[in-house]
Amino acid sequence: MNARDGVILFITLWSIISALASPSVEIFITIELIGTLVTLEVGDLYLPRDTKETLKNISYLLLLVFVFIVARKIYNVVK
Amino acid sequence: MGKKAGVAAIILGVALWYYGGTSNGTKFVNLGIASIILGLVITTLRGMDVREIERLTHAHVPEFIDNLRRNMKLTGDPILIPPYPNLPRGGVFLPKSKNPSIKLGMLSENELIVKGSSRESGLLLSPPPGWELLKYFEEHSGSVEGSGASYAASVASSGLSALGLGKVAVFESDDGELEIYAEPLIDGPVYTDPVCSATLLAIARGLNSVISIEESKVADGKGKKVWSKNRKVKIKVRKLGTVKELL
Repeated sequence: MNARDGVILFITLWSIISALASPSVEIFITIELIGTLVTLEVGDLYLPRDTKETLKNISYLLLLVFVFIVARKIYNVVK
Repeated sequence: MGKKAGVAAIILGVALWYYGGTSNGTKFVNLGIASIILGLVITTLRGMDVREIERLTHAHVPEFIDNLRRNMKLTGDPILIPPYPNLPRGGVFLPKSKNPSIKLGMLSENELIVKGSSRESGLLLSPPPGWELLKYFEEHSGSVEGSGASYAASVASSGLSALGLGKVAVFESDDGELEIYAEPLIDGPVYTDPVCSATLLAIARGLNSVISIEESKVADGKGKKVWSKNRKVKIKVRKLGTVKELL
């Protein structure tokens, strides 16, 4: 198994375990965002450019959802 | 991995998400989102292309041999020699003269530069670049020695396709010339390419003859009908004589 396959295996296992272990979609999205960012950082040297671009776009999208989740929580507390 | 697996993962993800949404199952929704994310990542992954790896690691070898041939003014057509007692792994002989006279008894694996009259001298590459591939073909399909050009080419073709290195076809013309269609692994002269060299060596062994490469060019016509992808070369070879005759 080469380094690229190792990185892909990491994000696959991370996604499946976090999907099964998270009690809500909001927590899953947050953990998935962490996993994506870790994969991007660790796999920087090993992943093809296209894969890194896709992972970056996914992390932007997850970050947007995360901001929305946080904003909603804040709104609930303030209200 | 690749596009198909990625698209399948995305479709599975959408289905899981939909199922989770309608049955109020959070885990299914999570798994659906995870599957879509993984599908998007997998679609961007390409399999390791053996040709690309070979080009990156061995591209300089054919250029080096070609430079050597030009600098030593070896103007004759390259000659493929099948394995025989003096050269148990066969060889590629680059003759100095355009009208060479090859004496197999004079050749030895330890002698790179063959000396003699201008018609006899040249450069000997032994073992040739395709020797290991020929050994692989024969380990799987049995020896091709004396089996004829067509059988040797079909053994080479099945061995190469098992390794994902394309196919080979051979056409024999009435005047004893052979037209071979092969998919080289790297750019450069065909006798330096492992796939073409192995194919030619198998055919030489099948014919039990020494063959000379008269022409090689990117294939068109017949070659395109045989295969549809990758670059093919058409190699014209001529029999120079059997090993026994040239000893």
